[in-house]
Amino acid sequence: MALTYHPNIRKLFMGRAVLAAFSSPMAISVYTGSQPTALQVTNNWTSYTRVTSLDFLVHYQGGAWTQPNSDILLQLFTIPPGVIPTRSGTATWAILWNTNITGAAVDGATLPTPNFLVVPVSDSIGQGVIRYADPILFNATVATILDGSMGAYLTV
Amino acid sequence: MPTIDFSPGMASGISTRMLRLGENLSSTNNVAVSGLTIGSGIGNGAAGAMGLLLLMKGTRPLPTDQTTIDALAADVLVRFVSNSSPVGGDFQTTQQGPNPAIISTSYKNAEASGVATWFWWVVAQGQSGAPSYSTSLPLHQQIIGSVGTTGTGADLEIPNTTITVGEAYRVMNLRLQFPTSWIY
Repeated sequence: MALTYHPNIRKLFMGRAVLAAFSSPMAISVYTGSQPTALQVTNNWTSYTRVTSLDFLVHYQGGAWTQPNSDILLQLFTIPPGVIPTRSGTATWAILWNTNITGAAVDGATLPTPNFLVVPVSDSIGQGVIRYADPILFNATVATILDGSMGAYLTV
Repeated sequence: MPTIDFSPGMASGISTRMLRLGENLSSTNNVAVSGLTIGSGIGNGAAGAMGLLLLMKGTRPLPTDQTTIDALAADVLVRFVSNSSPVGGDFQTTQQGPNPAIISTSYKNAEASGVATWFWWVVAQGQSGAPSYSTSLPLHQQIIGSVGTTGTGADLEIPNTTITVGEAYRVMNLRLQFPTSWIY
């Protein structure tokens, strides 16, 4: 048998399971390539640092998420300031750190924090949690996030 | 397909953040869902709203069908109530950390006799101030599952679904798992 849920449970999930785990501000690391699982990042962090990973494009600090009207959708209420990417490439996925992890911390061999989400990145018409007007980033041009949002349209 | 994936560290606190059993939630710690008619935990609500796990008889409704407990008051067989004093009320709070959370209660006497067919986990709006719940005020959120005898595959299995008024019943090892990854 399957449990049935009131729609508010999904809103509650986004508020309590996701948003409540984030502090404000928080940090975002953006990568190119195939999106790994969060477990792969956790178990093999040394392959994902800004120093070692050629897929690491850019790191942002100062983001903040909110849940407007306690609804199903979380939004990147405070978009972090634009940054010149470390490398050029097409942004495809990101790590949403639950705290304001520094650039030095993502350089290190120790996982900055065990608390993060791995999410997709896209252009402005795609389904990325993090979106750019143009996800092709250059390491000579400031890259600014266009917007960010995520919801609980659960299929599990 | 786009996927959102929790790290193990992030996932480890989901059950506690979602259930919040035994907490008296004031408006000040209702940060995540402030201002709306949803409580801030499955086990407890904002501003003193309380969670209840009800063993029910009769036809199982959809969660959106019912807006108050009174609408189905005649079908309530056993009532387990969350509270902050004593901590957890009828619920044991020590096993809400893992995912899946393990839900257990202390013994409560049945309020009526009948055959339990479904359970109703609700957060019911209370009066302002101290933790309370009202059977006539709007419900905040609900989870509904089936009740059956052991081995039937019901969401909540009990040895005998025939409930007798005045006899003591408890819930043991009702497991509630929260997703840590989803495709959208």
